[in-house]
Amino acid sequence: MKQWITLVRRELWEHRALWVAPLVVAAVLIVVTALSGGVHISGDARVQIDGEAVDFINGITPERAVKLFGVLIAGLYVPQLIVMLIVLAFYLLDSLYSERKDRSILFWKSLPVSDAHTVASKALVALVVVPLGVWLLSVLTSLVTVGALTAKLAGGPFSSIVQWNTPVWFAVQGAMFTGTLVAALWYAPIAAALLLVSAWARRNVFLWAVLPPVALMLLEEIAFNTNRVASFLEYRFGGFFDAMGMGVNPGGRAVGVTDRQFSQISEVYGKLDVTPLLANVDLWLGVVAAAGMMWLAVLVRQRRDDT
Amino acid sequence: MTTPVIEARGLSKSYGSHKALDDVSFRVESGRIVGLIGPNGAGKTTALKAILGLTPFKGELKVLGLDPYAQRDALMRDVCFIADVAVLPKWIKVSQALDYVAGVHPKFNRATAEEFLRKTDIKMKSRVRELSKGMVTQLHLSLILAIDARLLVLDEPTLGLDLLYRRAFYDSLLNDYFDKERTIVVTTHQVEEIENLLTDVMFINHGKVVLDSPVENLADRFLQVVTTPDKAVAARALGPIHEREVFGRIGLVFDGRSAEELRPFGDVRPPSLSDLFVARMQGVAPGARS
Repeated sequence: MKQWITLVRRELWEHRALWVAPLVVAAVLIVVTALSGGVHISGDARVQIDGEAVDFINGITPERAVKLFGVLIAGLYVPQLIVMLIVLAFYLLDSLYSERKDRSILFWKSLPVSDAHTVASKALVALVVVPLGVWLLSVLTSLVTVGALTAKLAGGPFSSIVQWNTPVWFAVQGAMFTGTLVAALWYAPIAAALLLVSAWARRNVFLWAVLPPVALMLLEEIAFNTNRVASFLEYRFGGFFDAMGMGVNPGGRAVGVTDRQFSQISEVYGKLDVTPLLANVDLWLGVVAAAGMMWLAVLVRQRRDDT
Repeated sequence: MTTPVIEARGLSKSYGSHKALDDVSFRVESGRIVGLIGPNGAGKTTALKAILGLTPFKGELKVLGLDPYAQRDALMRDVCFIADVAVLPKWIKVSQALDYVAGVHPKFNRATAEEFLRKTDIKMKSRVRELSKGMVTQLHLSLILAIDARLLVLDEPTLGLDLLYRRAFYDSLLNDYFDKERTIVVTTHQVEEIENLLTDVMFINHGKVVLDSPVENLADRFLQVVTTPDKAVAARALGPIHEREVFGRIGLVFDGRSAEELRPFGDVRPPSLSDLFVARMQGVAPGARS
């Protein structure tokens, strides 16, 4: 146990982005909501809820306000999750590569830590430690931001829209917690593939991670005029968010929320439960593939020295 | 005889067509300080990497009774290793390095390491990248000396250090670390520097062990005579293994000749380790026997 804690701490020492980036996102969210209380909506603002255009101020029924509250809380996770996925991808690619680049692998390997523990500790950080840390941070962020917002808006024209609702708050945080654990299983093969590339590539880890799948997609397109590789990858990357009801709307704009997106998001709260994904055999096939690739990464790391 | 610390039989390792180690056999007993000496590319580092489980190899190799490649993590409880100074990660803080080793090594005594560090200018909050090369070596040595290990492997440990650091390095190694229970294997090509602390030497060249002997036996076996060119002709008849000419006088190194045989030709004395190293690596200079 002491060794595992030490191995995890070591990862957080070296890759400070793992905890600095979520803290920065949380700080930005808090600052933005602190400033946003004074915003007034002018003119005819309508919002799409349950397929119906609703006047933003007067048309919100208490029932819809509950839904909006759930959406607001779940929505606070989105920037954290996006930043986390980027940070984790770079972390995994770097984790078994930088130790060879700076030759410190000779120091790590001079200590009684097996290659299996080393590789497993990095997967543990990426799949469990950081996601649960981000979850906890998001819980605190949501308490601060939404709590402050509802307090600020209470009594004003928006008070009917943003109303604190403790059961909903707990339901969303609980769903996000189980979602984090299910996501660890769903994304384990991608994490393991990145670890394998990180252990294997002698240079240009990023290219080795990105080019082979892109080349495969192009070759398939040219040779067979099909898109099986592409749709497989799309399923692997996006399948979890689809299951969570957060699927990216291909036509949506990056800035601002379209009506269509908002109506999608408004369904999120009802769909947050991802435990049905556990019954999907693809999830477990992915876990088996992840175990295989991690085992390969261990074998590759065993052969690696500073050359 | 007790179990040797290292026992290699038929150890081979190739990189492509290049044989870095070619069917090498040797053993290292407990309580010895062995110098593994050879020119660049001779196979020293490859031999050490095999001993440390950093590289797969052909042949039989047992270190403290373990297979180093398959059981590296178990082996590293009793083996310490310092490569040249660049291998401590640049981003780590001194305090983190202590925390890490304390967290993963059951035989690490943190108080001892901190005591060593107090004698230096190294601050706990510094990162390795802020330390000078000499300080990084001091830090690494402080970590290693605080581990109760049975075998210490040093690969060019003082490379790039100035004389003061080099001297201090070997002094603390001998005074604070070495005892009869422990074994040290060290490689360097600065032979003069470690000459006086070795108990055994192993010369390695082109992947082969060309000399493997306790230091105290060297003086019985190898002798050097410094003679004049006219006497050298007769001396050459005794079969020197090396010859070199300095300021008009000729130095000849012999293997297995007695001092009585050589005394007629001039001053007889045991060759220094570096002379012997050169003799073994170069052999008889071209034209010396003509």
